[in-house]
Amino acid sequence: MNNSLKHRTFDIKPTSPGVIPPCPVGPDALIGIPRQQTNPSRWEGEGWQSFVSDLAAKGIIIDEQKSACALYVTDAGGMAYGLPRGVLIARTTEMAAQVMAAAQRYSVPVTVRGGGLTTEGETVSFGGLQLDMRGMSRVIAIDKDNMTVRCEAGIYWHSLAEALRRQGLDYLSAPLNMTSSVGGTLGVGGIDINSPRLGCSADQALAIKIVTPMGEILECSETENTWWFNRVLLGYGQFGIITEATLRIRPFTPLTMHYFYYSDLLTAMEDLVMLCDEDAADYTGILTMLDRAVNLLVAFDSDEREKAFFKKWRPRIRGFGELGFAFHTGLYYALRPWKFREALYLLDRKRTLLPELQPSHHMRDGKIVDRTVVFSQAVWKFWGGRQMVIPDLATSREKFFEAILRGNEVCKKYFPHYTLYCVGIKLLGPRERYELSCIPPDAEGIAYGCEFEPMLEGKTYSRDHLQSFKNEIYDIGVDMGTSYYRFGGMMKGYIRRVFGDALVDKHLAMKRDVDPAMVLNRDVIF
Amino acid sequence: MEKMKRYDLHDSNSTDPSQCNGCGVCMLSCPVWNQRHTKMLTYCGRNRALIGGATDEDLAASARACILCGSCEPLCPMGIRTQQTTIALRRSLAARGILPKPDTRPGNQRSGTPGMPRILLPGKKLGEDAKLASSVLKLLGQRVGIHSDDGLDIALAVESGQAIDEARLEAFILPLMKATELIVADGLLFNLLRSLLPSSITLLPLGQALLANPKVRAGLNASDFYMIETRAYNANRRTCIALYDEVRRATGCFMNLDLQRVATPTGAASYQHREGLESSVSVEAQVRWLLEGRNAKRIVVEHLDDRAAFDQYTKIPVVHLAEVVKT
Repeated sequence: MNNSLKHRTFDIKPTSPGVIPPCPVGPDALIGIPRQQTNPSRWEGEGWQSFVSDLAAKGIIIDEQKSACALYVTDAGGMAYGLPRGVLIARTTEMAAQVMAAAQRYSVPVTVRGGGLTTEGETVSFGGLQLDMRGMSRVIAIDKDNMTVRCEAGIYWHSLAEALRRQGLDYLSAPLNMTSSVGGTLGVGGIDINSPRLGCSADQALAIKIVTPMGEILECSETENTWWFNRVLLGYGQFGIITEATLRIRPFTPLTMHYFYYSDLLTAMEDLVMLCDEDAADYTGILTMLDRAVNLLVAFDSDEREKAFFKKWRPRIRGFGELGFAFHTGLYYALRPWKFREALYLLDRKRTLLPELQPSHHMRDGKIVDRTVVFSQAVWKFWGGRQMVIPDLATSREKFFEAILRGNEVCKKYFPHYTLYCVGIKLLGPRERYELSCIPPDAEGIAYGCEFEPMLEGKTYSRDHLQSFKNEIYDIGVDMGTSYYRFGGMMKGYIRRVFGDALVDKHLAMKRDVDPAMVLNRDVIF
Repeated sequence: MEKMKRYDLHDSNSTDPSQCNGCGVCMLSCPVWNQRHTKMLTYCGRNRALIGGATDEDLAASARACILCGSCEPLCPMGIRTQQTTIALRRSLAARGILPKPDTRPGNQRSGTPGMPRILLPGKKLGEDAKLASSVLKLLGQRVGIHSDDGLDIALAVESGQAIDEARLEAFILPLMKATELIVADGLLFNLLRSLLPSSITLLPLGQALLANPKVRAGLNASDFYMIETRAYNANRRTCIALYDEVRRATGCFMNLDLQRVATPTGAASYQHREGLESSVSVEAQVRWLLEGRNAKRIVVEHLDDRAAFDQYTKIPVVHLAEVVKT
């Protein structure tokens, strides 16, 4: 070995968390880029046996079998792979509390998982314990008088909907994905097509029971343990584990769905913003098929709202109905025969996707029931796969158009087909919980989010290709000062660039304060 | 006469289970999941563990836990034949002695068919209830006979993962190939026959065959809880979902369909329950969940194993579908 290289290798000394020495390989690589590494070394199994024995003495048995760990090897994204040293299915809050107390004592990382629908490896364990919260999936109480439900946080929204429906009730808003868990959703936000009216799912929580990283059990709400309430909601799992939640609910109503079609993305976005601004519909969102085929969906819980929309707002939006769009698009492609492949793609999408969005067995008198089932099944069928990358941008109203149009151009560079899913997100005024979250700091009233969803169509892309795509989308966010939904895990290199050192350091200090061993979900943010 | 197809669990037309994307949608309707909340005990868990490096042997407990209700199968967005894959896993484990062999009693194997173009395979309990079987035959219409070989030993072998004797299978199937229509009460047997018989023979689950009679539909009402036989329904949901949806709209009755329109079982038809083996699904808990919030005044079942389950755990009157006709 070259003597100078040998010398430099020995120069690398352990450093305190939070301090980064000059890069020993490329000393000039970080110049001008303020960065701070918070977990400079990987956990190597220290303290594991003591941790396992300690818990076993309390009757909590960690499953260390290879087959049990193999279940958790990746998340929905299928891009990050890692194995826990052991697995525990949480059954009670007290059990989770004992686990966290022991994890602090022995400095063992704990990665918490609900539905595991992260795409950047946020719920993947790289050693340590995988705590599967889905063992806590009970509906505890439905309070019809106060229209609330108390449930354990590992429950899937779908299972909650099943229980509520028996009473003629429904939750307010939840991700259009049935296998999201309540706890996981409250931890990151949760966006639905009714978010322009109701805000994100985390804002539906009236109270939560949490286990702190030190293993304390706290009941939190706007009036009790408020600091914790605001730190755990939208906290990306950094400040505690949600074990129970009290959520607002409502009477169940089937909904009437209308689709309007645009041949221009910007026009559709302008109409979406107008509808959100003026609270014109109960549900709104954009789904694109191609630049020339953009779908604005509008839906209503009541006939009155639907009538009002058609009277006041339908004349103002510029989308076509299905027939009008078919004629308009047919004419476009008839005059451009060289684009026949694009036309065939569109026809195929119309033939296969649209019926899936209104299957007869989920329709009643022209209204759609179980919208989450319908959308979720379609999402997995048409967009799901063994790899999923869904970079996103969350912006203020002012930045929405430019950010999404730029992101759209990036998608074109990387994939032949993709979908943009755009929604508004009502904000509840200033909230501490919005800090260092997907809610953009400069948004007022309503924020806007867009997911850029490539159709992988059975092809296998290299990780580099997919990562480059994500980076390019996120670079737009850095450039424009937006936020993101999926900034954790593999994308955490962007966190300081997006949120700035001051804010990240503030959260890091809070994290160190409440989680001195830095063991709870340590690979997500810090 | 067309030939019987080969019994083959490795269907080249189905999606390779390794293509599972781990969405977990199949778990949502799984009774094992809904009672145990342990992913490893579900189809999704087994498959993800295999993909992650587990061996067949690691999955023995999970393979035993499944009650083969088939609720996962219609939900897989990748089109994986989940029920068949689980049966294949059980066979692999049973062949190595890892799964216990149930006490397989020979079924009613009297030879001879009724010589009718339409044949009813009534299953054990209906076969033993002459009065009810007679009512069923009347409602099914003309030229229906009861098959004397119930084939239940074959169904049990399939369910428990035991090898099926080829000669026995042939002896059971060949007489049936003279029929034009088979009406089958046992869901697992229905699914087996569907895979073995040529498409020229019409196969109907008993419930669907009875619902074709307007008198039966007329006997249902809005305060009924209608219990669909889950195995045949779930395996054929694509073709029968419209029928049940129509019945539900027309009568207003509750059904054991969840929000995904998958049929939820009581678990009473599983071999674990029938054979008194340890089961991951409590029939009592299933019955309670099925009836929760449904204020039913009568329970109507397609399958008599379900009647026994409801009789045991509720005080609500339970009748077979053939008994709803007003005389």
